[in-house]
Amino acid sequence: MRLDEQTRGDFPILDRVINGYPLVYFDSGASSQKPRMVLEAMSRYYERSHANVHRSIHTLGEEATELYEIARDRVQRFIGAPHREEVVFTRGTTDGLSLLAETIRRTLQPGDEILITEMEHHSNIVPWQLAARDRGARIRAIPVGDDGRLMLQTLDELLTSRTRVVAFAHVSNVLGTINPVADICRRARAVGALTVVDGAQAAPHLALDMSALDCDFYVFSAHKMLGPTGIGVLWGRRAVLERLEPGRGGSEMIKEVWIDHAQWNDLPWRFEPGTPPIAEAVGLTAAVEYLEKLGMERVTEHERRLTGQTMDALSAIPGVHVYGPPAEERGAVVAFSVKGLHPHDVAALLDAEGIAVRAGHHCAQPLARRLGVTGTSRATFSVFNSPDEVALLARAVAALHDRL
Amino acid sequence: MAVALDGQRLRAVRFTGDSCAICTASADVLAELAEGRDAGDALALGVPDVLDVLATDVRPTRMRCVTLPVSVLSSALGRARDGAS
Repeated sequence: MRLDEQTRGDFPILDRVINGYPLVYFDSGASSQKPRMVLEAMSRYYERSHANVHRSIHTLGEEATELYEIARDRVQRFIGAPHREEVVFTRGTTDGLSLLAETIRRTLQPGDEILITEMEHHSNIVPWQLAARDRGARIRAIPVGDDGRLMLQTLDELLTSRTRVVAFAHVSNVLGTINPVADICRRARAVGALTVVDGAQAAPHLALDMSALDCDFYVFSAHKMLGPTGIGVLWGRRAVLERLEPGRGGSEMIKEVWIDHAQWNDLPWRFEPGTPPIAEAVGLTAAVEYLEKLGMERVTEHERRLTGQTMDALSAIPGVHVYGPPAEERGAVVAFSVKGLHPHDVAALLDAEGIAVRAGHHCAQPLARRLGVTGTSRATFSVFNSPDEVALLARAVAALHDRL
Repeated sequence: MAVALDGQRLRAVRFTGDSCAICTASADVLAELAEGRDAGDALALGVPDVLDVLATDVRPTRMRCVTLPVSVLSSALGRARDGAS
């Protein structure tokens, strides 16, 4: 059975009718839909077990704490993390990257360099700009080639003894390019730089193994991988996390507090001040278990087939341009442009037929500039999308000029 | 957007842009509404005037596509009146 046939019934929202057409949701790259299991797990938690975590000595407090910490175990297994205390919960990818930038900022010296790439999401650019600005450090970027891949031949010149951080996307949210994480991390480590990987577009689609990726930090969001909004994961190599001073203070992240100083808590709580997103952690557990049950290899294979089908179908339409590398080298993302039509109009016309795609610069303006466009339209895929839906998209795109 | 003034009268309004259909339509309608008016009257033109002519249902998320030319015209007029043209 195909993955979409197996999973469609689990997603209540797919029953929606939009503008008289059944919903075709091709915007999981922005935020995925949620299977019933995630929604039920969160309701059940609020109906039966809610209390604050880690400090309530009563039954509900213990249940909530256990559920919250189970989420950490599930995530550890899902991403192949060596230790559970390396899994820090955040509010999402942006929050995780900001937390790292805020924390690492204090170690920067004037003249230090932060290396990003030209294909980054703003969330992996702006936090580093803020950090660099405050410390007199400098941002450099690995350029993107015409084939939509990073020009890694420039890395030897870009990595210097001043490079403190190399921050880059595992999968581009526009081009879909899967970057060679282990290779970049190995070369970054050789100059003593920390490596930060934005996994927002990878975690929902690829089997992850932190030991094999060999980065120092890996960051992603639950809401793009069938889980709820409001929670994300920052994985950090234990030895590196232990060296970092917390950048945010509050309850939970301390062991003892005096009027003028405090002693930090152990990992991972040191980086989790305040009441965490508990119900969201429960939802994330359900999402991870759902994906594990399907099997991430099957998920990748299914979405890659849809990606390839979309690229072939759209490329065959006159006036349509598809960006980025071939399907076998990319995540579940296809950005395209239609000659003579602004991406917003493409999205609005497709929406009139119930087809949801994203349009604009996709929070990656430097990349849009590099591609020479103000924006693109973008279809992204999840486990519930079907080849029939891709055929509908292709037919609708082919008919766009007729409808004007 | 470029404007040409004869004294206080707005003789011509022209625009170029890479924009969506709604934004282009808004700029077009606004240019037509503004031409021939006194600069002060043209400055008073707002989103409701453009929507009246467009006579279509613009969703909240696309409203800024309508708004952009209105603010661009007002800044173009401001510069023209300051003598920068």
